[in-house]
Amino acid sequence: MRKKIIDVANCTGCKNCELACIVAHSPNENLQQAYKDGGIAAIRSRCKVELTSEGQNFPRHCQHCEDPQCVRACMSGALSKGDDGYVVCDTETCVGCYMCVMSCPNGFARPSTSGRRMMLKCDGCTSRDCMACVENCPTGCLSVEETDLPGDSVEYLNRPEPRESRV
Amino acid sequence: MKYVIIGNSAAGTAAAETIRQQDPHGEIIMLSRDTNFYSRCQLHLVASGQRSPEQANFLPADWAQRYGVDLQLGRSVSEIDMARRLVRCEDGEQFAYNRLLLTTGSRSALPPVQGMDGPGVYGLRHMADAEQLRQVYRNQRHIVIIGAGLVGCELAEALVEVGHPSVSLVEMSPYPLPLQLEEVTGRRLGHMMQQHGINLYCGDGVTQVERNTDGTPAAVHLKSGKRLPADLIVAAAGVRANTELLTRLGAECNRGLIIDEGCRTSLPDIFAAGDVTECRDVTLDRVMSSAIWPAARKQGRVAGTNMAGGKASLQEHTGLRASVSLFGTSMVSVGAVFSPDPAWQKQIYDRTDSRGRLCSKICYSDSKGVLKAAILWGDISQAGLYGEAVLKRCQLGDLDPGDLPDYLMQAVV
Amino acid sequence: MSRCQSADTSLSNYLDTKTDINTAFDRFAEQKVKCGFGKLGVCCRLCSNGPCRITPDSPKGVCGATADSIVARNFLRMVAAGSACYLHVCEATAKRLKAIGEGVSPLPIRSKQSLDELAAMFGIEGETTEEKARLVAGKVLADLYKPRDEKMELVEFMAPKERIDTWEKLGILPGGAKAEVFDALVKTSTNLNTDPVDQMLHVLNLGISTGLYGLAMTNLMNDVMMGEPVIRTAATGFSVANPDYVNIAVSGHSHSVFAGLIALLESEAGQAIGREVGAQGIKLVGMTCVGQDMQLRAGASGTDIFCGQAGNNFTQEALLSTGAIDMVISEFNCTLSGIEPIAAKQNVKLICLDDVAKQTTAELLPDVLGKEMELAEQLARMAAAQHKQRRAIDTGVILDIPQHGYGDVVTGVSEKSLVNLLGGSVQPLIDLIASGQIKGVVGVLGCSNLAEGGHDVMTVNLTRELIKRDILVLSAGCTTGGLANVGLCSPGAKDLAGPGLKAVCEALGIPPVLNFGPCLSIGRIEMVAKALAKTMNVSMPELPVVISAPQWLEEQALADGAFGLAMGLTLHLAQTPPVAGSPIITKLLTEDLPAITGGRLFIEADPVKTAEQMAAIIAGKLQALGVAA
Repeated sequence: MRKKIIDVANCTGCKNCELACIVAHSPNENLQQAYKDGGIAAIRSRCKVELTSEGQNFPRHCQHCEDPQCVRACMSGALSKGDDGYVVCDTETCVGCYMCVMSCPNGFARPSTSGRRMMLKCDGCTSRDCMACVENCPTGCLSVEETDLPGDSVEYLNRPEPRESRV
Repeated sequence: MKYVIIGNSAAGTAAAETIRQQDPHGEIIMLSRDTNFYSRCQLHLVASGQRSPEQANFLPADWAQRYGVDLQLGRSVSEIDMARRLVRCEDGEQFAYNRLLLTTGSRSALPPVQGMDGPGVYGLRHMADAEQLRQVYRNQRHIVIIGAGLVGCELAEALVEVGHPSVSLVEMSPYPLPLQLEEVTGRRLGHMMQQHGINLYCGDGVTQVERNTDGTPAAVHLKSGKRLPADLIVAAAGVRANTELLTRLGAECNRGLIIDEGCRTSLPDIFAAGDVTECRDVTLDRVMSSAIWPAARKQGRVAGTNMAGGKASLQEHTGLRASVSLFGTSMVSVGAVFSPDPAWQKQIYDRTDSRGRLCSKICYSDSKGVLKAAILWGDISQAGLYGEAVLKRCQLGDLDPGDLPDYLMQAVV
Repeated sequence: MSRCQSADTSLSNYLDTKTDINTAFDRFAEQKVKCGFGKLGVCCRLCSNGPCRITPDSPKGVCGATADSIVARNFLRMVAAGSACYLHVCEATAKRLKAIGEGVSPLPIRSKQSLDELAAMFGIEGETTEEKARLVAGKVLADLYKPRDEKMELVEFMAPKERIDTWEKLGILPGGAKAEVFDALVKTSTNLNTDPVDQMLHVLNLGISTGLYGLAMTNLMNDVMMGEPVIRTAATGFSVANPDYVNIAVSGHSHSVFAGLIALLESEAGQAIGREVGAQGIKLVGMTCVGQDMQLRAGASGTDIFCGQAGNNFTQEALLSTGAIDMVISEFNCTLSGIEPIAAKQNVKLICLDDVAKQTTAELLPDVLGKEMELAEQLARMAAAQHKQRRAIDTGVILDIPQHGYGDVVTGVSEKSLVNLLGGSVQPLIDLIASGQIKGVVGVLGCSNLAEGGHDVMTVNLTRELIKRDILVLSAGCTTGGLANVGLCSPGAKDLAGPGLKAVCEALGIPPVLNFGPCLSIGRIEMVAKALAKTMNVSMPELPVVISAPQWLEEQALADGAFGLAMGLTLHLAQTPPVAGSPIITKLLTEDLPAITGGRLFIEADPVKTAEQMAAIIAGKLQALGVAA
């Protein structure tokens, strides 16, 4: 599978990845159309740049976990981890109970903001030659490499240090 | 190796999948009174007609084939013979086991009041309940739902959404979802439900069901003296675990079958998972029921692993976690928000976001700065992070609980 | 995502109770991730090949423009826009003065003395007050409208000789101010000027016309029409709003646009309009800088129709949620779009008097020269009607005015009233510095923003650090609104000052922070500096003075900053302007400028380090002057 490499040190917070994700998941994959359709409000990005409490940009992308809590929590059967390693949501089956949102330890499963109640998550852009976010990253923060190794499909470089340890 | 699983819902199917992953050749027999697979969490949508029974199936069509499960559906188990390691069904058929898993769930408990027994009173635990409700509710003028827990609230919302003009909801507690919300959010939800046309009677209880001469319901009488016309009554105020198959054999049992970290009952080679059980809850450090879908799935996987000879235990297990969306507002709750320790500090963060949506976070933390429980209202995007903090007992240090995600994105990998 | 905090804790506490409104304090959290290209100034959107962003892998735009060219163009465009804003106010003010002089406008001349002084300064002779007004205003307008190759004539009367010489040598003496803005736009368009040094010189050029005309000239003309500042104590904060009155919140920068309304409300007939709807009358509440200007000059009118300044730019959403305001009138900038939904919720009427300030949900009532009194009556009646409607039982507006602000804020400080206070000259101030009793003077100026730790946080913390070090603080703009609402412009603040400054405060009865009012008064503070330089017989760069815009917000602030740097002053900013993507411009501003104009820019976000650095800079300048500190 493809592995997304995220070099946190290179993120400038331009949110091009968010925009590319919105466009890639809009009906015509067209930037102008995505905005005209209320895309910014209706179609949420599956990835998000956050700011850490230390003021560092932190691009957050679904890890397609080895043991995906969202799939474990799904009561409709919409979420599954495929043989290709990607955790995907069948939006027709999803009823929007948001138990995946409740269960994702990273906050990557999010409610859709469009009219219908359903969850949204990264689908790995499997229908595209390159992941939209990676393709549109101008700083080299996001890149991709092919790998046969099992494990999470996202690797962080220069990840911020944990603030505190657990009790 | 022969595995027999009684029950075909969240826990049972998760166990079957896990057993198959560990043991490619063992025989897996699944017995259930139900004749098909369905997600119990969707019954309110089936009852209101928003989803068909087929849509409520949470498994792929080839599930049994894929996992090599011998499905024996429509069979009720009458007895377990521990000495011979046999499961007997009501129809006389019997199945031998080496490892047995009980995932028999629970059933609706009708409030013990005069007139409750009789026609026109439904529970909402099984597909049959939902299908019956769907057939009858449109012809009934007044629907009264007893209990504003998750089932009662979601059903009330579904019925109002499909246009039923008279839906009443009766709840003993001062506000709806008393186990998932606290005072502020609970009253806010109550107000919201009333605005959307639900007749809500909180802090009140049913004392009697008044019946017509033909036996059909006429009204329910409340403690407060009110009389609510009722043609159809749904009891959603309590459940009873289906433990009888094992209590008869002397299994340790409270309100549910007590299981250990490995989902073992006190009886040899008999495991249990799902709503029928009680186990240690990490948020309260107490043995209790964990009747939510993700918890049942997890117990099913742990039981399955151990049945097949692997090693798994219920870590960071809780049933005190809920997600519910009503009338476009999402809520997630984690931890014992219904009975916070008096020593916990409660902090409320309210804001109105740029879309004009009221978003709240209610956080409870102990004197060491450990987040113990939380409610997210409106914006639930980061609910998983809050859940993670509670389950992993993360110490927040000087970080404001309202800013928790900042911290967790670094702390939790 | 918690709400942005304010140095003004009672404001923060109040906002904590207002969870049903969405304010800038909430949105700041939603917008916390910033685009690094924008912050560095290396995103170019000038053509269809773009937007081009400069990265190590793509160091030039499609056209070949370098980071330096892109940053310079973007920056010059920002400064040009900021300059245009202040020049718009100056132009409107001059047109009003001219209309009064021509008898078109029925408004009074409130300070004939100011007019006489202004005419004398410009060498203008006129028989009557009206003629002088006409000639002075005509001269200002003529300068603004000159083509770029004709230098503005009044510059020489507004700046010290050594500055004029320096500017002449650099070739930055401005031609017609509007034409300079116009050509800045030309220069920065697609495939035109790519020389970062030329563009930065143009920035300084725009700074000069911004400061001398946009700021100082506007003040001088407003002194004529609206009266001169008089030092007095006044109230600030939300508590100034009295719900027994019809309350009109005023927002913008152009004091004379309100001349008609003020004249009407000062009259019995004007107040009667308010009484007709059951209120005790009609009052004005200061919301943004124009309120600061009213606060500054209200002492001259002898009436109390102006209640006081409620706060600065980012307090307005909270102000509207008090329910006390019936109408908001905006004539210029700093009215936030965020008040529109709150106004709708609170049933507050929004009015704009100039289409440059037209808000989506506001009604535009253009201010026409000569029709000021008709407009004033229309506004007063609309406000009264709104008040009546809001107080009708069924519309039930909820009043929730917190205890907020200070009742003893010293205001009315200007270049003239300060000299009067000092006994007729700035010499006593120089003596205090020379004797070491006070360690210097710092202007803490400009806007407020929500960055830098929160609303007014850097401004307040820096000011506290400065006065602790016996440095007198002069403040103008939204900084003043913030400082007043935390008590630093009240006499009691002397206790936070070092012993030397505290003694001065006690002797003169002043707080350690002198409140010059609106951001336009940055021009007044530069006039104080000019007076100090003249009395000490030194050049501007030699002055023991530093200015700071700790929480600069907008393009106008950048134009003000360019003025300070052209004047040869040392300027501090806490937040780097979007120029850091250009090594040449960064070096020019922070290292090379002392040898060019004598000015210097330094960036420091920590209040203690900033104060220490300022103290060191001032001490260094005093030493260079041979003044023992």
